[in-house]
Amino acid sequence: MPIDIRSPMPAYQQIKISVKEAIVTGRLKENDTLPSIREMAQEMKINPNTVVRAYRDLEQEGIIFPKQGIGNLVIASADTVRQSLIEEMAAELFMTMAKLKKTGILFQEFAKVVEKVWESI
Amino acid sequence: MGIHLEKGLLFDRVKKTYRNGVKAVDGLTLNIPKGCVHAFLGPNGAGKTTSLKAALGFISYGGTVSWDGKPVEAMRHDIVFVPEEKRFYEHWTLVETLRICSKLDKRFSLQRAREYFDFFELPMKKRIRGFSLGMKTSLYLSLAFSTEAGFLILDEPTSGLDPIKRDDVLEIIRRQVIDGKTVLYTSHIIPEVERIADTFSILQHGTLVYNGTLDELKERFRVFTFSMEEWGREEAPKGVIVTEQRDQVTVLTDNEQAISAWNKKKECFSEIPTLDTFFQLTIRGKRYV
Repeated sequence: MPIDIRSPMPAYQQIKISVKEAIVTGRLKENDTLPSIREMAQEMKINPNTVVRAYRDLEQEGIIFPKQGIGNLVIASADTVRQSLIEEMAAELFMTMAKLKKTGILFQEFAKVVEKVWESI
Repeated sequence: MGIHLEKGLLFDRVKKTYRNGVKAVDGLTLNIPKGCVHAFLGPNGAGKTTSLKAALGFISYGGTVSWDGKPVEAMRHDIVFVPEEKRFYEHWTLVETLRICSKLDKRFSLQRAREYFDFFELPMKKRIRGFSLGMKTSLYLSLAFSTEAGFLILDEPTSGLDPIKRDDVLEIIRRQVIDGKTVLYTSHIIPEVERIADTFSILQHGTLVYNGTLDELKERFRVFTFSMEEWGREEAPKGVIVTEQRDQVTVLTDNEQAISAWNKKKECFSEIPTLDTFFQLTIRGKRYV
């Protein structure tokens, strides 16, 4: 899926999230190969340099490993990626939560709405 | 990986003063790495076109411009240019254009040019004089994309194109980079820049006011809105750009301390800047450094 350029989330982070989502949902398993930088750039409609940055980050986080002649291998399990996926989303939640908090809404009130929305999905 | 973030285009202390005394470019130092799309932004008269002309060797200038580590004057064969004014040899037809282009440039791909002409639905036998602006733009782009040049300078490369073709052109530009080329791009249409630029720079009064990536902008910068009254109680820290509009004060900053303090403040609201907001505030705002 192409990245959303209008999103306040940096493009490289959107790529990271899509890889992490694929691992958590099982579309990508340990020892699977990620699309090449070129393929990913074409698929996400983004420039290769941005993909390079996302892959480098994923490598530093111990999620993928570049193997010469093969490509970038997934080396983390779905369980280990779950937590980092949520943390990656924190920035996305920040702006909404800041807006609510500054109007004086309490966390409990917010949590109730979160639960309601969560249940509706 | 075929991606080399090295050398590329380097403006080194480039200066240009026109005969009437106008300093069009005043000490521009900027590196555009290989393998990226770089967008030049700035209001009219900021020095964008003059900088492009310097990179192309169309004007005399102070300082140096190099491409791939060599003076740009010696690298002309590796640079292709699509000018803002799309005035091609008006009495030619495309048949003649192709014949002459392939004579002038041994590495010009006739086949690719024909494919692009086809793609843009350009008539082969009509004189260019009768082309619409969009058709002329398509012609320029077709020729530029059919050379082997490693560096493309595109000045307003979507002018006159309909939204569908514009979209296609942006994707073709991106493909150039995937194929290892480098693109320097100017446009007044900021959403376009947002879509395809890896890096961008903002010029104002002939000097560089910002150079970075879109992702950096989203990560580092925040825009805060204060009421005039509230702002009056603040002491402007370093590294902010302030714009006053009616009873509101908009503050753009990458000052981490200010960001974390203001995030906690009830009385001001923050957002992540879009390129448009960032550009507007940078050009209009008052700087505290």
